[in-house]
Amino acid sequence: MDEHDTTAGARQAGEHRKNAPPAAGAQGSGGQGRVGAAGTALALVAVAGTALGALMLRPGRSLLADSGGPLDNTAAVILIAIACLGAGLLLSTRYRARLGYEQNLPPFEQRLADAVRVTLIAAALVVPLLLLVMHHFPPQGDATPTAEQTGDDWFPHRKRGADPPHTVGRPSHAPQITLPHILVVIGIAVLVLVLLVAGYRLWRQLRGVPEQAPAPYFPAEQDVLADAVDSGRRALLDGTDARAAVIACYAAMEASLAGSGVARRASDSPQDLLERAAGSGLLTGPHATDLTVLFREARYSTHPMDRTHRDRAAGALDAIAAQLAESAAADAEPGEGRQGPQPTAGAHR
Amino acid sequence: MTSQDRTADHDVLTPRQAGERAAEVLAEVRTAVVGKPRPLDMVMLGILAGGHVLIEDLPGLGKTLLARSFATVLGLDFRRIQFTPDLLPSDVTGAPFYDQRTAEMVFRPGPVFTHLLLADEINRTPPKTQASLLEAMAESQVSIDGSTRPLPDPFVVVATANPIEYEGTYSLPEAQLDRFLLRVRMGYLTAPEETGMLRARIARAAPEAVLRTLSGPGEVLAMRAAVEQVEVEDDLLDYVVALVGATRGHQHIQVGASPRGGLALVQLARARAVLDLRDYATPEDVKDVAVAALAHRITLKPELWVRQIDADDVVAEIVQSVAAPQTLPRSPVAS
Repeated sequence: MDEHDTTAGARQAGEHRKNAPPAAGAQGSGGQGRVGAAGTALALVAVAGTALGALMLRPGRSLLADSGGPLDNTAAVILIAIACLGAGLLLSTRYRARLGYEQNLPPFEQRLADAVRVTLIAAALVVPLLLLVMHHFPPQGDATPTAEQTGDDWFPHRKRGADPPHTVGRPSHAPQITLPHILVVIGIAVLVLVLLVAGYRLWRQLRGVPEQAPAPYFPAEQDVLADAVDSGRRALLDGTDARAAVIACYAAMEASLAGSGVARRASDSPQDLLERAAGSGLLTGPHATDLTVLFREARYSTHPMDRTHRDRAAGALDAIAAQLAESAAADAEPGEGRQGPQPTAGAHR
Repeated sequence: MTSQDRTADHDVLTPRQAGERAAEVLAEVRTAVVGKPRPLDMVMLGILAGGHVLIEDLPGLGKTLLARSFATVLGLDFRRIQFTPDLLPSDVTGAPFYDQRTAEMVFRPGPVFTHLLLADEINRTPPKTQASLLEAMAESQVSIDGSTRPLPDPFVVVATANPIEYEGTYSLPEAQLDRFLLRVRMGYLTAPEETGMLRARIARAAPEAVLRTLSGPGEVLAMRAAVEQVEVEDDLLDYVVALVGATRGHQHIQVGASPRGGLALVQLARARAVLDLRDYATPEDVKDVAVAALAHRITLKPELWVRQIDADDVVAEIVQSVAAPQTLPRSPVAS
């Protein structure tokens, strides 16, 4: 690989990292971080599943006792199920956020990440569902439940000695609505709702419907850049020193861009920032480049700078403003265009 | 006009004039070395910045042609040493011999006494012979038998190394790598470029293009002097120091860049500004040459070899993470 290719490749990789969301992982080790995240998530699922299994299988009193273990309490089971669901969905969301929207992983890492993503969502749904399905709900309103009513035919060992101690002495046909019952009903309703939402998201995931990536520039590109141009004009008007005026103009543009979401990154050179701000295609042509060249000269040289430089900066700003106005007008024609502040050419003069 | 006349005319060049002359030289070299704009620019930067260039790539990619073309167009005296395992230091620097007619020991200069020395496949010779170039490269002089002999000015070493072969090669030690101002990789041509190269060969009906001599040693020195006129703002120097410092604290790097790396980065950035017809350096100049100037000066941790991460990638990552100078200067500069 040659110097050019290597450097260009590394630069492209750097650009990719620069353009990726901040949550996409550490620079240079993004792939490693994602694999690490996948491993961590898988480990958490495995540990949680094992713990849940242990809780389900562990007898509450003794090995020979006929008991559902510590999960005999229906409310506790429902709460645990809700907690599992919430934690699973949260973990899944965080994992996908950590992966980022622009995934450019090697095939093996990509398959691993996909598997973890699906597994996390599936686990978030299946674990609570299994908790509920396998739980032995106490019969409501029947003092002598049969095996068919309680579902004990799924668990034959429970048919022996099926005499629920809690129902002894209750009226047989007098259902009572108590606070636990209300809480249980609310819990089940919430669980069903969450299950529906999670199922919908899983369905989208399995169908491969891509998540909506965040727009690189927000809220409106023309508005952002028009504000920046206006700030630059004010700086030109205020300044008496040509060098300071050009630098202040660029700084004002940079501040406006930062305030609108196109912030300068610490490692950005002026050219890097301008390229990112113009990445949407709004700032095409030589004017933006001219302004950057002027700023660099003002910032890094000790040349005498005079009104000519200031006028050139003003001319570049005018051209950029006209370009933005033209772009905004073109967008407004369909009738739904964004109506941002319209920069006026020559306003600084 | 001879090269001497040109030298007389250009004893003092402004950065813009030097940049224009360098652009002419590059255009002429490009007629012989087809489709290598980036490596050609980097070699030109190395010559302008007063350093030595290491070209690391496979055989047959035009390394020798590149060095010879620069020597021809720049009007520099050119010598070539093919480094082999049995090459001795005296074969490089020269050695005294006994002159029977005068009954005295007479020094016979080696091929190092030239303007542009092509050290071909420098990693094929043992470290002792490699080290014989150290003093010549660092101080432009050779000390033999207690006497020091200066080398011609300018003195440029363009060394080539094959990065793939390990059998019968001797990797350059870090101390010697540090002597090179920058490392360049040539790389393969694209298919259209390669077709163009073949078409050009058929059209000229000769093995190699005939190049014009556009400059001379004096003008090369004048161009180097013009590089010295390029301004470097204080914040930019801090940026260079931060980049070099980042190589010393990076998790993947065992040994970071030396202070000489910072000097190289500054000089190359200034030369880059000259090529761009400017007399001031910018962060873009520093970023552009950082990989070429620093990557060969760092030693990666051994485990990275398994992960196929090379120094170029690590330096590129550092460039993308170290804070560049802020928009507003620390101290205002009046117009």
